[in-house]
Amino acid sequence: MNLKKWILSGIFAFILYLVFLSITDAGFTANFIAYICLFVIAGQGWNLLGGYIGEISFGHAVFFGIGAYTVGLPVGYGLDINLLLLVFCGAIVAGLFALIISYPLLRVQGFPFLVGTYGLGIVVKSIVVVSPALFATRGIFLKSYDKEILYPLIVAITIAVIIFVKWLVEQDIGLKFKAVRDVPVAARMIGINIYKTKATALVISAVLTGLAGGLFALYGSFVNPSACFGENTSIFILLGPYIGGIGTVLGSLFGSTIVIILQELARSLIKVNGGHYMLMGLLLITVMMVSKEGIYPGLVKLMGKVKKAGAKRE
Amino acid sequence: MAPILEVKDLKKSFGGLEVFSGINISIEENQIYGIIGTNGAGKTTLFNIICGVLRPDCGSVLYKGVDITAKETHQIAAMGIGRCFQTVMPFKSMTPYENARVARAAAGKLNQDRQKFSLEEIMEITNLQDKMNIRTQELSLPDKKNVEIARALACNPEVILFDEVSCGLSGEEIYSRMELMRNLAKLGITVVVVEHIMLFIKEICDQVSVLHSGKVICSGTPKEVAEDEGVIEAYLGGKSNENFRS
Amino acid sequence: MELTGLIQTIFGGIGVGSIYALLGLAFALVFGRLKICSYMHGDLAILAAYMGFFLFNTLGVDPFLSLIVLLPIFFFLGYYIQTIFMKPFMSMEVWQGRYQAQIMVTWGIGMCIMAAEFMIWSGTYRIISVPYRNTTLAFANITIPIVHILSVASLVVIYTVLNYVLKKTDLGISFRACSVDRVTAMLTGINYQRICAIAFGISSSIAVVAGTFYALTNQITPAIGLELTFKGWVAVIIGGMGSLGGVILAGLLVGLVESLTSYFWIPALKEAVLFVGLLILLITRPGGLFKSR
Ligand SMILES: Nc1ncnc2c1ncn2[C@@H]1O[C@H](COP(=O)(O)OP(=O)(O)O)[C@@H](O)[C@H]1O
Ligand SMILES: [Mg+2]
Repeated sequence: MNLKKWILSGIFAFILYLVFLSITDAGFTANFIAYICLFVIAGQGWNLLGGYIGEISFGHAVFFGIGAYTVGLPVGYGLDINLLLLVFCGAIVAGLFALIISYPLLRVQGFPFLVGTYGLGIVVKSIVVVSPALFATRGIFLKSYDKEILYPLIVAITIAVIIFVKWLVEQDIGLKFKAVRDVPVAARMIGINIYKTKATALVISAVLTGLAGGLFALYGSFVNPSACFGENTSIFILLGPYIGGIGTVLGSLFGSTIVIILQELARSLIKVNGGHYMLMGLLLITVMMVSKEGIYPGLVKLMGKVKKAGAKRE
Repeated sequence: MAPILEVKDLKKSFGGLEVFSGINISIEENQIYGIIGTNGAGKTTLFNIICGVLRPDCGSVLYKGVDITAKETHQIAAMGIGRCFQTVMPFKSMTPYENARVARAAAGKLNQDRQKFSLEEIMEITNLQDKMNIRTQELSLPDKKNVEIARALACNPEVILFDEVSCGLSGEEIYSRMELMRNLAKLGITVVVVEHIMLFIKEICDQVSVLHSGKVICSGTPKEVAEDEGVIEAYLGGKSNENFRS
Repeated sequence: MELTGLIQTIFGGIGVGSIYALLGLAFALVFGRLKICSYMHGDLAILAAYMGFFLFNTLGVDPFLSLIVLLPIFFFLGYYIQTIFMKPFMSMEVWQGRYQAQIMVTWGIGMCIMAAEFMIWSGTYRIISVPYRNTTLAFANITIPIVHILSVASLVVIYTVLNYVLKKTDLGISFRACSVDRVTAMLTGINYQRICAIAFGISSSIAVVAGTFYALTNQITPAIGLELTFKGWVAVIIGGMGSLGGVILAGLLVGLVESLTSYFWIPALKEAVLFVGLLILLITRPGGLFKSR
């Protein structure tokens, strides 16, 4: 029932987007929206693990990069494979990689997990950087994909991903995620295999992030180690859900959007070196100090209070 | 008849503190089995060992004749042992209904053939039907305890362990819990209760064991236990006491 | 010849490792005992390094001399960061997302510090060219930079002093009381927040020492901060999450792994090797290598 509303809003948003696109054609704004969408997808993926399981990952760029490189590498080797097919392969490869890496990573929780994922990011990046077989320094250029198709496709996939995540977290498996996050001992006591549940979340999370990475390769027509595997990518992916409201679908959507917009604004407006870092840092501090849970839950709480106050006055 | 749950020669110590120095308990099917002991006697520890949260130093736990000592907690839950914690630990970010639903989706699914209640019925017997859609975080302590019971029941357990459910509740609330336990026993669920209050144990239990300084000092019917010299000694330092007996 | 190179590398590793150990010590002090999770000590260290650089370049003050000013400044910086920014999270439980919140706030502060460094000193690599930077002591064929010797020595001194303070002084006893239980400590009349702030201040001062030594052995740039933070945390994890002695050994080990990788293999892979090692360790001994309490 609730899901129907989401699907309808999704379709509505997509139609709006198409109308917008037909008026302006694929110019700067459309380009920017597509860019935001990539991080929204990855942010939703991150949020499944970071928000619903409660394990903060500092290394999601790994999955992002794997998605992008699965698209880029065959092109680099001169193979002629359908690029969209490669995007979906990239998502699957990222998922498989997550499955393998979950074995060591998920043995620890909380802080060591965070450092472990960061380390994973460093390891993978430094291997890519020194491997000539992966076109280390040059990067790989792809022939540019038709923007008239690509942009709507990215938006459609984003909407589909958001609805999918919303659906997923209301399924039994989503409840299991939350159970594991809330009280691990009690979760075990009702028969939940914690490792399996976390691994499931990690794999789905990686698949979504890999999908975003694959689309990123199409979007930029270029892959290189620092854009795909760089720490900054990890940071942008995780900042969105964190600022918007960790563990909420809408919050993470808002958060990713805000982060990318602010980031670009800062980059073009603040000409000072490092200005955008300052902005991000201040935003992070402010959000955490004002509302520990992020912007969206904070707003929901505030609205509740306003409503209550209004009701009292009447 | 073979006991459904059996603890054999269990030994456990934390650092230098010996909590159990070889205890034996055997619980028959369909019973309400009481375990009493002073604070720190190791009642919660016993439950933790049964559930696989802690490992014993020595000895074994048998469930329906199968050794479950080395099994993981989630496997044990899936075999049909449900538990309510002494310190309430509901999933606070979820509603009571979701708490039950996730349990049904996990262990409950594996024990489907034993299903006695639907989720709605569980909400009803635990008195949560009005609060089904409120976040558990916002509920009162008795309601949180109810959520735990609902969650344990949703696992479709064959044995259900209650750790001091009456603690912090009013008399009336305690009576409703007792009623619930009796009903569960009638439906063929074995109930194991850990309690402080002798009255509670006396009212509902078929069999009782008394834990004291690492041993089961006495077991039998509530009446036998209440009259046992050793128990009186342990509890009251030798003096017989009217309160205790009534 | 081969052997000399190896020994040389090992000594170099210990020298570099002592810096990580210092940072790890700073983290472990507040994390292991007070469950405060900081994510900015690397940035604090680099900030201190830049300040040392500034003082040296403009006034010609020796970095070790400038420590006299920097240590108290950073103590109070840490003290007030703890009282202003971290206080709201001190009453949170771990399962309520205490660490995540602390990480995010400190990371935000770290980002601001890094941004400020970018604005003031830009991203160019800087170097404090003190005359003794390349001075070495020679034993047989092995040469050891004097800065390395000093950093190992200061590590030993700081560890000893910390241990003494923790074991013998009133402050240390209140500190240990707070680490056992917040509420009980408060009920005994200990000002919990103040103890936390002091501990945070001390750990910030330790970061200053680490930063100074880093600047004396490496080139500095603002982005190094986060990297140092992680290296410090790797030391904490390997060292068993908060035991001070374990952290020091682990920090030295991290340095050794890095320099041995550079010696035998490709320097660019030193971090990769380090983290692969960490992953293997997580599989085999999730509790850390030197788990002891
Ligand atoms: N994880 C643990 N580590 C160390 N000691 C423990 C642990 N759990 C319980 N104990 C100790 O074991 C004894 C029994 O505790 P518990 O089983 O909780 O008692 P009860 O539930 O009967 O009050 C207590 O002395 C307690 O301090
Ligand atoms: Mg107990």
